[in-house]
Amino acid sequence: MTNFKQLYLASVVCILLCIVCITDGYCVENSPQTLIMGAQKDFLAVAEGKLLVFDSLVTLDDSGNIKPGLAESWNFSTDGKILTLVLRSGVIYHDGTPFDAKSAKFGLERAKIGAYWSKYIDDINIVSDRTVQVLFNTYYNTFLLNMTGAWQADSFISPSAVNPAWNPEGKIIKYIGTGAFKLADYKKEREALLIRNENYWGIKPKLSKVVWKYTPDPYAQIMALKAGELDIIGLPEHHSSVPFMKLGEFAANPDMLVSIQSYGRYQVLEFNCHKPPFEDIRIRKAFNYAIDRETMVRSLFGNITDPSCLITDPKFIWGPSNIKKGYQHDVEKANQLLLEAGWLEKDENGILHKNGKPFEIELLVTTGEANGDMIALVVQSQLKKIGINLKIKTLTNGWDKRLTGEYDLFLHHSGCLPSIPGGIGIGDKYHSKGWPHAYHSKELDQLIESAFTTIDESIMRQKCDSIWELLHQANPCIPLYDIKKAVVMNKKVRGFKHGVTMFHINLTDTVIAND
Amino acid sequence: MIKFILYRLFISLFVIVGASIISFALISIVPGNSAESILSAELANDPKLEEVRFFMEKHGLHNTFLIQLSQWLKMLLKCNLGTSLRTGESVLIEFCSRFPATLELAVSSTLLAVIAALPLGILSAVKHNSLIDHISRIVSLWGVSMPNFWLALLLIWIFGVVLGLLPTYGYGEIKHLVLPAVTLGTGMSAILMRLQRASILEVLNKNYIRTARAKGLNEWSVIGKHAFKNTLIPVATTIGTQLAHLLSGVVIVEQIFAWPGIGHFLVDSINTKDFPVIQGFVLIIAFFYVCINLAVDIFYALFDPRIRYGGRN
Repeated sequence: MTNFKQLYLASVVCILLCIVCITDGYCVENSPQTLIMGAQKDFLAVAEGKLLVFDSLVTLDDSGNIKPGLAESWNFSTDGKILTLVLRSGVIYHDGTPFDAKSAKFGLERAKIGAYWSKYIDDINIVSDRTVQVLFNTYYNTFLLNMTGAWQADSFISPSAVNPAWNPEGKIIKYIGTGAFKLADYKKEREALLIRNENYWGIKPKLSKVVWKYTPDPYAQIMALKAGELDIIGLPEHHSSVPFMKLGEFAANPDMLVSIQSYGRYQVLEFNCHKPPFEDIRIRKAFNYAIDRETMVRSLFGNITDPSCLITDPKFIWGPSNIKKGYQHDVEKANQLLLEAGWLEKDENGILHKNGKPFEIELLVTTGEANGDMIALVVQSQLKKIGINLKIKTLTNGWDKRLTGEYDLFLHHSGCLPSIPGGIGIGDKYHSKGWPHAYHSKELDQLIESAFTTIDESIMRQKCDSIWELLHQANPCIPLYDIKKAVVMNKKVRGFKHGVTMFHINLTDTVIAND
Repeated sequence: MIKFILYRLFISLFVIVGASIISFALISIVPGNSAESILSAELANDPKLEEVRFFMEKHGLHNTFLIQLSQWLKMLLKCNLGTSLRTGESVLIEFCSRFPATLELAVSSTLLAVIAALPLGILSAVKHNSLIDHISRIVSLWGVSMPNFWLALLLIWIFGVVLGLLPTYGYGEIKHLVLPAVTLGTGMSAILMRLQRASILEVLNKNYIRTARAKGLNEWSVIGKHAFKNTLIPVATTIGTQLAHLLSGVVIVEQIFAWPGIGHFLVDSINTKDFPVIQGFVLIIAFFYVCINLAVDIFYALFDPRIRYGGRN
């Protein structure tokens, strides 16, 4: 037994010694001009990471105007069926391969794979070493928006970095782009090390290294930021990943900086307009009057974000800038509309009845929606006040339900860059080929089709104005608030600016202060 | 004994494949569409209906449950677990690339728990109703009651943020292992300590212990040689079950400490209904459960001469 006791004591001493050894001299790894970024997704699992390594054919500004990228200039033929792209000169991939018309064609072919818009393209031709032509069978207005990189971010990869080389369908073997950073090391679901591309064609970032640290838990991420193991959090996620309730605490901390940016992505409640009660426009209008967005936003988020009263952000180039007055909170009007629609009696619980049936509806909340659980509860409480019983159903995803129409209300989000203007119609919600149970009409279909198949910008503007006017009157959804993106960083991170879309990370002016 | 092991392994084949089929059936009836979830992540936006349909046809997800199941069983007969819908990698490669991290964490936590729990459990029983016993019981009650996620965040805050002694997350060095292993080991050691204490208290009243004491053996010999050995069966069973549970992945702890194990990946796969990963991982995890239970059964026979397998008890 003495041996047993000795063995046990020895084990305990060994464990204590190990703990002393491993904690002794522990310090956070860092070096000047290295930014350690906390990310809730693996580097290769999201577009945000890839967009640091890969460039896109074109970029855009925050209103959605197309700006040059790997293509220096472009023009459409008068019928809109030929797009001529003039490529930037002097661009080389990280492996030294020059970016030219041949590799641009390879990139365009890669972007086409699995893309629903590939059916609009007949051919891609090399005109000269720096010129490529894309031949369409029909004018496809949003093609250049699709080329801004948020989708198929790794399209413009070095042709020798796929296997088989130069095969557009080849499997990526190395992440070699033309972007501002090179991927120097990658450990799956752990970290990625990016180093500055000294041959970058654009403005070179001041940071020499960026470490993408995979830290999936938001609260553990906050601890790591406080412990100095991370420099910045909330940046590599396109939706706000820092819990809003923690932002006040960070704002009050003199060692931290909080930066909040609107990308015009609104959280909305989509109506199922193809079955009662929301096939009746009076009910849809009543709901828009019943929701007190101001109280909802201030009680849940304080001054972090603002209520939204329009279907889409009017700042976008083809957005609803013609709609001057958004949906307003007015309980009296809501009650009046419900009365007109036949919801007359109230039971002992205050729930409205029509033909003996209570006003009960179901709200579908999918787990990926920002703040979905909190919002659903506030909506439930506000609707109760006008006699509506809202049942909340939470699902991991709701595609099946969206397709079959097994919902009354669906918590979702509005389109934002780069999916505007595509987000209002073609392939998306309000065209009859989009969400099967969203609001549709023949007039709207025709307007959408004519707006996005004309090359004349003034006609397009007119058509877009008509689309927004029609949609605004039709009350196809309940806009709630602007889902802003919050980024929190150490005070030593200086010069940070938000990217142009929620998917783009802008590190051009970011530096690490040594004081 | 060998016959017994072979028989158990044969039976376990049905258990393993059965577990996989049941998990596939359960995931099939859960609402949601894998194509939508996977494409949403890939495209960084909502996929179009056409894209979802294209993806489903490409991966055979439009087929009925029975067709998908028969295709998977055919692959299994060729020792092929398929390819992840999310990552495009082989399921076996996905498992093997993550399993070492899970194994490292599971074994460390178990060792930590055993080293802490067994002596404390014995001491608590021997010093029954003393101050040590009361303290041990309170600590073990605290350990059992404390949720893992809360303990993990508390440990991170104390040792990472306030004291700055240990990293708050990460993988690769021993220092990264300490906090996750302590988090998982605490709950396990609390369970083991209480079990060990109760088992020792039970055997201390047995006649053979009285006989040993009457023979004049010192107390540590009585406890270590006679009492402890006879309490090992329930304790070993619990250790085996707990170890198997840890080997199947510990999602919350892996997520908080950014530990690249199988748990977090498996839960992501369940959320996106990545069928090949779910079926493949469940199959391998079920195999571990079977092996560990078999090892525990063999351990019974080694430690208790009264237990013999193969018809003679």
